[in-house]
Amino acid sequence: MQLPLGIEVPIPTFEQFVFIQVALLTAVAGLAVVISRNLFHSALALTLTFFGVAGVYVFLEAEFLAVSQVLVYVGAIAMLIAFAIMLTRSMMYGRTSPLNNQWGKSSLFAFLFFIGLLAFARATPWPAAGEEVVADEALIGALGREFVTTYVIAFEVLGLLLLLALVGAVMLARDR
Amino acid sequence: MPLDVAPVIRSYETQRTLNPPGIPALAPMPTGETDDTRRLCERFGRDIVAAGLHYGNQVVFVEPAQLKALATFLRDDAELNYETLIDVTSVDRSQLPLNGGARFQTVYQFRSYSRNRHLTVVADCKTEPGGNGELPHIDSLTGVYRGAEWPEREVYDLMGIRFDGHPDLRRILMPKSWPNHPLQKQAPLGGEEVPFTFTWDDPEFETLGSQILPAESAAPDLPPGMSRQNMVINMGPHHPSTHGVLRLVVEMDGERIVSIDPDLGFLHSGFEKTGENKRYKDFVYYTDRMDYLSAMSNNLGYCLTIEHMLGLEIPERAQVIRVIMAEMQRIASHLFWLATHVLDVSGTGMSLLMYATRERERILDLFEMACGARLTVSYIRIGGVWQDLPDAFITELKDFLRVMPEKINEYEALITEAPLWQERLTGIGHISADDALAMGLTGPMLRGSGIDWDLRRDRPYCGYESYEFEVPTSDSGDCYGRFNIRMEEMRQSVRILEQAVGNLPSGLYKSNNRKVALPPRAELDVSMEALIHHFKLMTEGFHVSPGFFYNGIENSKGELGFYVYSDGSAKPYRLHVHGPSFNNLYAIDHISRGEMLSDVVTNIGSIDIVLGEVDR
Amino acid sequence: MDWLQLLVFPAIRALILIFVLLTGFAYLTWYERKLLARFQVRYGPNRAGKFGLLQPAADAVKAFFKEEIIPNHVDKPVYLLAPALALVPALIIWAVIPIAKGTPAIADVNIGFLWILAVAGIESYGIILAGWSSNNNYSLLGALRSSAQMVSYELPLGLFLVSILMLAGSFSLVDLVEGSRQWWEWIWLWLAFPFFFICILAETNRSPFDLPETENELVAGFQTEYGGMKFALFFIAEYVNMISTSAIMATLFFGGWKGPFAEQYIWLGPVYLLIKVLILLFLFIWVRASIGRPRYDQLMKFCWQFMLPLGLVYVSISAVLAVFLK
Repeated sequence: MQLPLGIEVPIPTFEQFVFIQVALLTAVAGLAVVISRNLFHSALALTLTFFGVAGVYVFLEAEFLAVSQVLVYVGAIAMLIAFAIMLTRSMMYGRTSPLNNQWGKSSLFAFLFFIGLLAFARATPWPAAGEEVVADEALIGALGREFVTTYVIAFEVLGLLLLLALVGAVMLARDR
Repeated sequence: MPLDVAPVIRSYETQRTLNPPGIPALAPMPTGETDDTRRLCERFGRDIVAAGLHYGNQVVFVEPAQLKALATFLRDDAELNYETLIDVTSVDRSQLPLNGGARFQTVYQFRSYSRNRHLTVVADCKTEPGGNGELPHIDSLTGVYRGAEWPEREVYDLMGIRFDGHPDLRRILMPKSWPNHPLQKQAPLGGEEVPFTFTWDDPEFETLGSQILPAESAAPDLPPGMSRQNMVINMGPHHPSTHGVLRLVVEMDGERIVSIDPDLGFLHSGFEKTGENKRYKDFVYYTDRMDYLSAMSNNLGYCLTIEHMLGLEIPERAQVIRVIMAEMQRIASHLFWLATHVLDVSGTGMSLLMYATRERERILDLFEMACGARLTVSYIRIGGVWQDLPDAFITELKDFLRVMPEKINEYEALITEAPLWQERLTGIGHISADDALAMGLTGPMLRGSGIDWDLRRDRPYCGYESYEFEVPTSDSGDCYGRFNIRMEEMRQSVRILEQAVGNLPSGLYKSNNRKVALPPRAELDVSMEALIHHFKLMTEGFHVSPGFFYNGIENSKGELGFYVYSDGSAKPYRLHVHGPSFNNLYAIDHISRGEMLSDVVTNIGSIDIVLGEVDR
Repeated sequence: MDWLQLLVFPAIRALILIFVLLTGFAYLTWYERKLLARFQVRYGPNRAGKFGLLQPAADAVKAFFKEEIIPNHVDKPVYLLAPALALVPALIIWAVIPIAKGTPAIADVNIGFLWILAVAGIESYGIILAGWSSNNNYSLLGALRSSAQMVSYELPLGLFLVSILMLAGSFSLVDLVEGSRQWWEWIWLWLAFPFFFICILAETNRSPFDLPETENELVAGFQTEYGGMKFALFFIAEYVNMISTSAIMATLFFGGWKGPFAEQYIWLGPVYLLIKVLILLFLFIWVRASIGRPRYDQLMKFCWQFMLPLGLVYVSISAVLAVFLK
């Protein structure tokens, strides 16, 4: 497509079109998390960001990861955050300012981190395109196999941690 | 903003010439003595103004300074052992020939369950000048009997008597801004301007809608002792499970109850004030509207009180009909309690609601057969009942009695044994026996805490002594215990009904005393005498000799008491209703603390209140 | 072509599905009211149309023409978003359910199981947002209860799903239905069904686990401040959820669209599925008519002390079975 100033703009394919939307959604929601004046709205925007990330996973043909992302981050973690905000009543309806006295320092660090990420992204040799991915079923299988072979220690430690959390929850739910 | 309640004087209301010259008269002093009055006289000597029997009740007049000591002695003395304070009320005697006596009197009804004694204590109020007129005040008994708290608030609200040492002396029934104490005799009866109009071009229409325009929601004042640190929620007056217009201000920490402050009076209709301005026989129709789920029992309680003051003999048949009606009403009331309680607690009890209403319909049908009304029956009148039972009534009732026990079993099968139901009720709303006595609870609330007391058995009226029945009690003191008691009471009522139906005697259905009870309609056509009696009763009514009397009957909800002070005229000088719901509801704060929000609903259901009676 | 394939065809399919589900919802309300009436010695709706069959239409018209009221004190954007958010998960969960031989409702994705779990996870958002944005203590309590309840019951639910998944050996629901099962597998599955059903009751906030909207304690819980069509959306969400979860249960436990001759005549598949769903819906309503509601803490205790350990045991045994018997 030819724009008046002689700039060549390619017509986006369907995938690109959707990707732009998802990416925009993720970025805007991420921004909303930090600039929203209401803590609960921030939490909601965070949920939206998680959704966006899940969308990006879908584009990487990693449906398993995408759904896990929704299951874990949206379904559980964001929910717990919302829960915690609802329980702290004093924050509920007040318009809290997102800026505290450390906003300068933190924005500096955020900026530095962003520069670092950018440099890292530029330095990474990205595959050109169209690399064939393994069939999904096998992918999930492979993922599982990696968990119990290469990453078995990390996996087991995590499992232990979650078990402890579970036991703790059952203990808390018992009669006082 | 104080309301404008300028009185409208109607000439016929103030016309005293209708009455004989001896009216109004003070109630006479009690005569004779009993063990208890003797013991009190020994202990308090000259501080007892008068003691003895009056209308068969033990009455003690005491100096106000010694009231608290007397109450403590009544409670603690091993020989007296008056465990509970049933009722507190007061009389404004300003329209009686006082001869220098105190204007305000407070009246206390003490009850000893273990010794089966009743004692009325009367104390003059001390007055001190202040405000516009005099401010009566007297010692509060809340330190001795906890349950005095609400009745004393009620007396303060309606009569303006201040109670020294009361922890929380606020108005309870009337709005905070009410300009007067309505039961004082100078307070006008009605005459307020009604703020509505039927004329379209009235300028008031311009402003009528303004009350529902958008406005900032304003947080109302918190009741004393509550803090906004916790969550404060407002249950009612339009909450689904407060059984009418009850408002509970509930302070919660998470879902746990910290405290509850009930806000009453949304349905306050001034029955007592109205009663003072109606002839004796005309108040029967008002009693229907108090506890509208047991209108028959209300009729009965009122009529028994007046009949006792008149010394009227009631024919045997009328007595049995009254028992039949009262017990049917008890079943109906319990059925409705069951329906709503189950609905409140478990939500899905819609099924049980329908089943219980199905049976209640049959009872209402029977009422309709007997008197043409279903809810506000006014069937029991002073002197007997309104009209004789129709022929088909007994057949229908027998059929109902045949079915009812099966139905009760059906409810039990549905709900009593259900683990979820037991889980919800067991251990919830616990009241110890001591607390129940101290709070002046009555009825199933009292029996649920293990006090074996039923007025029908222990102070029988209407010939209840000739029926065989059991009084179910429970030691558990929780909602499940009270649930079982009410279920069993339905069975016992069926049992009483069976006996009553079995030996319903023939004879008069109302007293033959033409000075009190209307002559039968047929007689009017043939007898001049009857016509005169009819005319006299309908225009003037009958007079009750001066005196005062408290009488309680066992309602489905507890002890329904009527206190009547007569000045000898055809209208009660003072009429006080002791509603069981009112005193029982006082327990809600006590039993709900530390429990969860869901349990408040359970507790309200378990107390079994009717707001028409709480607010009166 | 790309656009057509990826956007238009699925959109048409989705629209048909939504239409069917919303009609299903409308008649589910009729079904429930009629059934409850039978349980409660009443007649149920019988004025609008024959057997009251037009009652749902009348209700819809009523809901549409109700005045839209937005209270002043609410957080407006969230308040308006919540009803829509409540409905969406109930609809999209259908995407992976097979309705006939080789035909999923929208897409045969190989993550069907996870899809169900993920959608179940976001189901409570509508309720939470409604409860929070209403700025009302009753709504807030309802929302708190609901989030805690749903998050808790998702755990045993997930455990049961994982067990079924392990035995089936595939993430796809289409494969699950079409694959064959041995007799002991069926029995082992059906052993889990009552518990799975309990979890589903809690997940869908259906009586007796309708604690977020206990009308007798919390007035109407999270939907106290909603009226008209916005309330209707919550109502639709609850009922569509019932249909969806019934379809899931039918698929997981009772062979979905399978039945005599369903392999030959494709159109029989949806019919069998419908019959199974209706039977399961009857179960929902039966439970509602006869079982009382537990208290909130009892419900949570039941989850953490009974359902969760049970689920863990079930998973372990299923794993052993899957390894040694298949």
